[in-house]
Amino acid sequence: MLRRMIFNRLRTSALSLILLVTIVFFLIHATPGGPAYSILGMHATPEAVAALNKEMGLDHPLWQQYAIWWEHLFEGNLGYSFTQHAPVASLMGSYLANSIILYVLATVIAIFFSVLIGMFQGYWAERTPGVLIGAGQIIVYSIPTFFIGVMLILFFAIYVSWFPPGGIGGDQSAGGALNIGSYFHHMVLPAITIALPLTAGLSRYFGHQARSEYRLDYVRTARARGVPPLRIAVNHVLRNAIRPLVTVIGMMIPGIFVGGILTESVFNYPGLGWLLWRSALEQDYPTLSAIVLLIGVLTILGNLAADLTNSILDVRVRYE
Amino acid sequence: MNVNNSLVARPIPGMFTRIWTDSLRHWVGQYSHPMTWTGLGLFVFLLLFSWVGPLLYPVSPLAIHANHLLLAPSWQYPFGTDNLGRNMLARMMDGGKATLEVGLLGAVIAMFLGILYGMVAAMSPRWLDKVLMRLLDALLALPGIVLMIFFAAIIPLNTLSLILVLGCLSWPGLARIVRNEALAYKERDYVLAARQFGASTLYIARVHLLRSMLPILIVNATFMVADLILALSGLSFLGLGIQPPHASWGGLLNDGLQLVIIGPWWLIVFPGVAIFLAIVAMNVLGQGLLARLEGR
Amino acid sequence: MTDKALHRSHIPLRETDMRSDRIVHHHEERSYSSATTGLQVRNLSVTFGRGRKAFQVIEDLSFDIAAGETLGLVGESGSGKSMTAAALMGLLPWGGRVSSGSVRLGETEMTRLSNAALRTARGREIGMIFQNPLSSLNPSLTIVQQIAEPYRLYCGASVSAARDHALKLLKEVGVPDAEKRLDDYPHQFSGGMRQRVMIAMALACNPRLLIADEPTTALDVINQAQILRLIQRIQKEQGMAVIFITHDLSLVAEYAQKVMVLYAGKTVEQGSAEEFFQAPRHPYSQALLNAIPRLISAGKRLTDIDGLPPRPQEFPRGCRFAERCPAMTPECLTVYPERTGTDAHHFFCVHPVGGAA
Repeated sequence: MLRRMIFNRLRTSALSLILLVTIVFFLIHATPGGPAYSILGMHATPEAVAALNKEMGLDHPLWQQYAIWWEHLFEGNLGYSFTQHAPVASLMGSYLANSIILYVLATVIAIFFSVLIGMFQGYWAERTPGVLIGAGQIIVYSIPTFFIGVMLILFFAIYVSWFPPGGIGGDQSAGGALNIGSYFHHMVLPAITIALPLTAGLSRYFGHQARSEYRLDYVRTARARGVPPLRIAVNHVLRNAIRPLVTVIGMMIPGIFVGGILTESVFNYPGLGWLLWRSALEQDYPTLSAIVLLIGVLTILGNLAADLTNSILDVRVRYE
Repeated sequence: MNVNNSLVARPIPGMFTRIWTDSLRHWVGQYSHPMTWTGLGLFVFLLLFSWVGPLLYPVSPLAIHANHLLLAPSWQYPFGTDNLGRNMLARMMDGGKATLEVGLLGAVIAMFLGILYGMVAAMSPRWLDKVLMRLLDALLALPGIVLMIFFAAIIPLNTLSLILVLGCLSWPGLARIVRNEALAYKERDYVLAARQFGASTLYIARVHLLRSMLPILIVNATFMVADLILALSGLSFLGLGIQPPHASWGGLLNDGLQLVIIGPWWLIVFPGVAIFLAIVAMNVLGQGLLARLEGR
Repeated sequence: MTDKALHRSHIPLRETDMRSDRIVHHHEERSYSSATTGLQVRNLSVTFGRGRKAFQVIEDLSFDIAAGETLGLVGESGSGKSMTAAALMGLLPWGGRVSSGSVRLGETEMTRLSNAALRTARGREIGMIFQNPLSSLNPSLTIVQQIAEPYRLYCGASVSAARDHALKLLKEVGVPDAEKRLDDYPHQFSGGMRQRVMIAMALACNPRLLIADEPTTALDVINQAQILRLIQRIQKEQGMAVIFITHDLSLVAEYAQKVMVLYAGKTVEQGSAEEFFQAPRHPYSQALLNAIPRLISAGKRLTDIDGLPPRPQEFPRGCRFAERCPAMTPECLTVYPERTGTDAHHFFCVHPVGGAA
């Protein structure tokens, strides 16, 4: 039962991944003049373009190019960045790591506060505290991410100087040992910037969830047994309300990336989103398409992981 | 509706207008919620500000006054001037036009594409539905802003292109909602009955499914407008929004933030508040409708 | 350990059980309380809202239930049956409060307890069974976790002792293979078994009072009879007072010694089951009885009552049943009827069935 479910889920994700790679392939070919122009620039001579096309196999029919594209992907060859003068794949490592750590940190912060706020909101739903929290969520959700970022810099970095206004700690470029403390010190403000809108959305969802759980009969039964409120909240309501959370977090991954791109741009934080932005301004198409592909793949895998975790958790309750 | 159930329906004078007003009143009654009215009022105010405002305050948003740089709000310049001495109030009105146009028209395009795709998926055979849904998964994995950044260097950045690109990139989320809703309604008895009577697929999709979904579509349209305005302001911050000298609220806010250290607060506060109000208006409106829809 | 706890319920709540700030009350109450071990409710009213928006959902209920006795609380949905139970438990929905009256369980005045003391009382002194046994059990906790919870919280048992106790209770309520089923989740049980689990949970600390709120409505007839007999048996063994809330008068006739009929938050008729069923006096009681299908009177038309009970915000000044009553006269609309009859059987109606007393 469980094995079949996992197999089915893997199959759908594989199909989505194949389609994703195909989409990105066509995206690259949709760039004006084709990949060669975007690599060499708009003013390249036709001879140079022809030479590059031959070198990259772009003079073959489209279906062969498609096959070559797949072949390169399996070899881990994501193209060569002419602006950074390095293979794209080797470029991405540290950016990817920086981003993943930042996003995971932000997501953990968001989950923690969402659960806390959501439980409170669920308990107080329809009364003044619940309504106030609801209003706060809509307000925070409606502030553009970059605005939050700039305001945090203004206050915490410039006015009170508790945190650095941007960049990354630990001086990785010099090749020295990573200074963990400084690394995370630089990460605090970006993480809060990503986490704030995330918390607004997630806590709203979780608040709804907790509210509907609080209305169920089993809560009344627990009260009738004399179970104290805190124990009801943690042992009874939370346990049920938290179930769909994993799936929802999976669904929020694209949103995390969007917030991440803007946040990394505000803080000049060398992550995937910042690299995407930089490559876009420099028209570095191999890097751009590689990042787009990577974000897509990470999103699909993240969704897959969320779904699998959830079905395993669910099955444990249902079939154990 | 208050139409008599007699077997022979004779046209009553004014019947159709009455049905229309009745159902309108019914709708308004059903979905009236303080949040809905607040959101709607706010948004109408912003629309008036952007379109009627320039008629009442006919000042060029592009005219440069070299000796009136960075003036704080005053009677002459109610919202102050920017670092080129341009009138901020005029620029805010101009920027509002662009911002709200992108939000509203982009949402129209996105709604159209999303409904179309979702409906096609729901009405097609199972295998095709599966393929279309996997394709949707792939598209959903690429957030609109990411693709927007990808396209930014290729396309000219003006109001029209941003409407088209944002509209064409923002529909996948809605498509999934439409498809799931349509599938749910497809199994209802009245739809099955209509099919028994030989109603065509197109007719069922148009009359039964879309009409049943209308409230949900309206709610999602409001959120779509909010999301597009948010996305546009994000792009403006990345320098990929509407290009200078033309104004958009996101662009104005970004310009203001560049000068934040010097401290002209009016360059940040006015566009910031405007963006915030536009997004809040749409979100509040949508939440109000949603509250009624969920029977709260 | 377990045995001691099992028999503790007949001893009045000890002073040390109470929060220190409540001990004072406790002594006060004792000085003039009649030494009952059952439940004594006097002039209980429940009010929602405040000021001009305030409205009463329950007005002036009084009844006694001795240990070992069953009171059948009867009425349509919305008549205030469940609200009465909630008031007794101190579990009124938000916005509601006991605005007057007293609820005395044994020697404890329930309406004056602090929240914490009230929780203790709910854990130990009062058990409650609900209508829908599936939704009333937490789907993500095993049944042993749920049954043992009050026992661990309020009888100070260790995990293993609580587990043993839960096992014993499950056996007592007749769950087969109790050892194996302790760690099952609620959805793995059938409807009848779930209700047995609910009963086991309610009995965990040997309560003095058991409130069964439509315990068999969701069950089929066989399970219904089994569950009610089970409650009856345990009641006899342990001498609990039982409040049996139902809309089914035939079940009341079979299982209860006392009857109280509620309509729109007020008592319309109450008394011993014997006298009540011999000669129901209130038109509403009569109407409820007429709505029961009977084998003997087959062929006679079943009658139902037209209309709906009024909403609490719109309770009329006169008799609350007047609008739907076949015997209504203008007088019914203006004056609330006096109490007529004896303590053993009385009613509130100007035009009683069978003529004025």
